[in-house]
Amino acid sequence: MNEPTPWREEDVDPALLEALDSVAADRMPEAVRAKLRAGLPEGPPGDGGGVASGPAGGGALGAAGAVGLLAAAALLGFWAFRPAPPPTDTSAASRERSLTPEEAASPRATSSSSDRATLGVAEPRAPRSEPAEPPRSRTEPTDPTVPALRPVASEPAAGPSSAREGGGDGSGGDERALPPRERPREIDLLDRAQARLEASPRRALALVRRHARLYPEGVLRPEREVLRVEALARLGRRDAAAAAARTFLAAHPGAAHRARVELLLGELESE
Amino acid sequence: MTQAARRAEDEFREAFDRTADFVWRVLARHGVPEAVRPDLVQEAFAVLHRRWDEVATGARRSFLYGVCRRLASDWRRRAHVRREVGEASAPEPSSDSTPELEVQRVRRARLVRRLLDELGERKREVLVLHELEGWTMKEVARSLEIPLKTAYGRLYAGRRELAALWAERAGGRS
Repeated sequence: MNEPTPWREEDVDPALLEALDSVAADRMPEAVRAKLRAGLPEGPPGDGGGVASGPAGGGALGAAGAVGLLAAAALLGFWAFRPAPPPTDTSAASRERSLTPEEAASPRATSSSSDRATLGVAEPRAPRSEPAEPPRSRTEPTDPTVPALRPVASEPAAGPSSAREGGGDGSGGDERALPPRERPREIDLLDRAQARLEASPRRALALVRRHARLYPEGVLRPEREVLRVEALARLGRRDAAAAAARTFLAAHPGAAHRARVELLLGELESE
Repeated sequence: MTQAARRAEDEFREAFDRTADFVWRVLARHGVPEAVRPDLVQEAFAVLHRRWDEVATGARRSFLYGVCRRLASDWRRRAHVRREVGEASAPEPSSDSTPELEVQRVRRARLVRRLLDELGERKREVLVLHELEGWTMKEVARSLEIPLKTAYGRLYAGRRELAALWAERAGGRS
């Protein structure tokens, strides 16, 4: 069975789609994430060998935590280079050996009595979120306890870019009127577009367009244009996709995604 | 620590980085109030840590989804609470100075959450995983252990109902 027709924007109030998108972008507050990350079970996973280092407030960030953070830094570069349909690989892998939710929920899976003790308690162990804190991308290094994260070459410099576009283009009445820190971030918009590419290319395209409206010259412009080509291709709009691919190739002769776009264009032209 | 063990540990932390927000959202959508969520997130990753070797690399997200669902329902039973919706999971405005647009965005997001809750769990689950999390329908069906056709039925019914509820409630206020 094919994937369902995406929820078409002409069939449904765009405000509803936008509201859904904003719900989809909910994130764990950074302060909570930092605490939880520091309190992750230590030791290699599996074999029931790991011992949770206590409640989320425990804050036992050892050497292992620092190693993990370096790995996290590696993750920053970069979703845009992921081959198009990761969920399919996922399904193949998971067919081999995947636990069902019921297995997962078996008594063994839930927890020891000491774990359980933490559950019934409604008192937060970790600090509540701080509303004043602006939302941050999940790809950003977040743990304040390790300030020395190496910058990763492909990490978008979102700050300067949004500042540069602070003036907007004066058309007003939309998100461009928002101060830069209140707009959705470039990386978030495109991350969401990427996540929807397969299941709902139409919504991915809507996010691409939103990015283009908000950040016409954004630092992630090349990534955006690649997503545009892919979304159009998935929607079956071959001519538009091919045209976008050619525009991209002409505008970004040295882009890292060039090979991928050339491949896409080849497919579009050959069929 | 052996090299392999260290690699596995790194991988576990990467898995946390990739999926923590997802786990957070799943718990939120299953009615776990924000004050309790950190504990359950921690618990979910403790389970993943224990059962690491049994969960295929590509199946972690759906494994965590099952774990969260179960943790949330356990929590609700223990706490003898009805699902708390709306305010508990309301989005925070990104700033105190709220231009009209931001106010509207927050209000709409809150409304859509409430409406999702009204859909009922079966339809909501499918709709949320497919429309919000971007899972393919196959992944949704496998993760919920329902036939693909059933998943489609729930998706379409959920869309219809959500759109109708939206039209009914958002019309006057958006």
